[in-house]
Amino acid sequence: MRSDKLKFDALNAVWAAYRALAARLDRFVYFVVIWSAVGAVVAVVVPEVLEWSLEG
Amino acid sequence: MPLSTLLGGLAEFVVLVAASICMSIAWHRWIILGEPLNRVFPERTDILAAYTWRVLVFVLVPVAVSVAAIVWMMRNRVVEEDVSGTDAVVYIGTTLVVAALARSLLAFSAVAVGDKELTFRAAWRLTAGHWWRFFLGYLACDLPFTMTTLWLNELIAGPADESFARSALEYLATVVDVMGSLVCAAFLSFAYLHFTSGRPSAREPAGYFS
Repeated sequence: MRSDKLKFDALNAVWAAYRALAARLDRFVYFVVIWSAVGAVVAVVVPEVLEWSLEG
Repeated sequence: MPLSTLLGGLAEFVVLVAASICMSIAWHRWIILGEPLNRVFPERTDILAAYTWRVLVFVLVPVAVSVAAIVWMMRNRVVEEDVSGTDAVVYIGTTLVVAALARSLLAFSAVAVGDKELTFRAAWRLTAGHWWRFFLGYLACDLPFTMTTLWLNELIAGPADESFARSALEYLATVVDVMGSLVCAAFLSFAYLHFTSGRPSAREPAGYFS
């Protein structure tokens, strides 16, 4: 059963959300590095493959 | 512009959306379930698919609203080739949709942790009377990052070139944008913990914030 509490402390939740990011900034950087590498590979590979296939 | 370059740009955009979704899911699961933040790609593809579907629903509506607004503005010469003006219209469109659906936002946290009961409709019912808290809370999480992104886009507005500075600023704007989506995901996760605290579950919220 879901609880229907009267007071949802949104300000506290916002504050906690920013603190969560600050606390795990290392993981954020880790994710960004990995996904940037994926993005860079895609940005280079996709046009190359397309040009090759269009020419071929 | 050659077709290959255009499709390359599209592929890059798809990677950006995928990155944003995967990181948000990891963030939700860390806060709600206490799962370590080491999964670049979610383990469960059903969760990824369900989350992506919800994001699409949530993104397509503001995109449609924004496109309609931009077309209207172009036809009435309110903005012409104005990047920041267009960005602002897209942001206003998104904000209007968030305002309209604020009480359903909890469905994103739910789907990230595999809670299939909490659909958009169920989330809407559960959060009755909390509209402004959700809307203003979401805005407080999103606005600083969006403003920074708009400012960065304003800096790089102008004729496209291949300079390093321009690429660096574009990259920085993207990172700031993703950062904002993670703060929003965290806010919704804390809201989810609040609104479902009475339910029996195996979750173990991240120790730091419990």
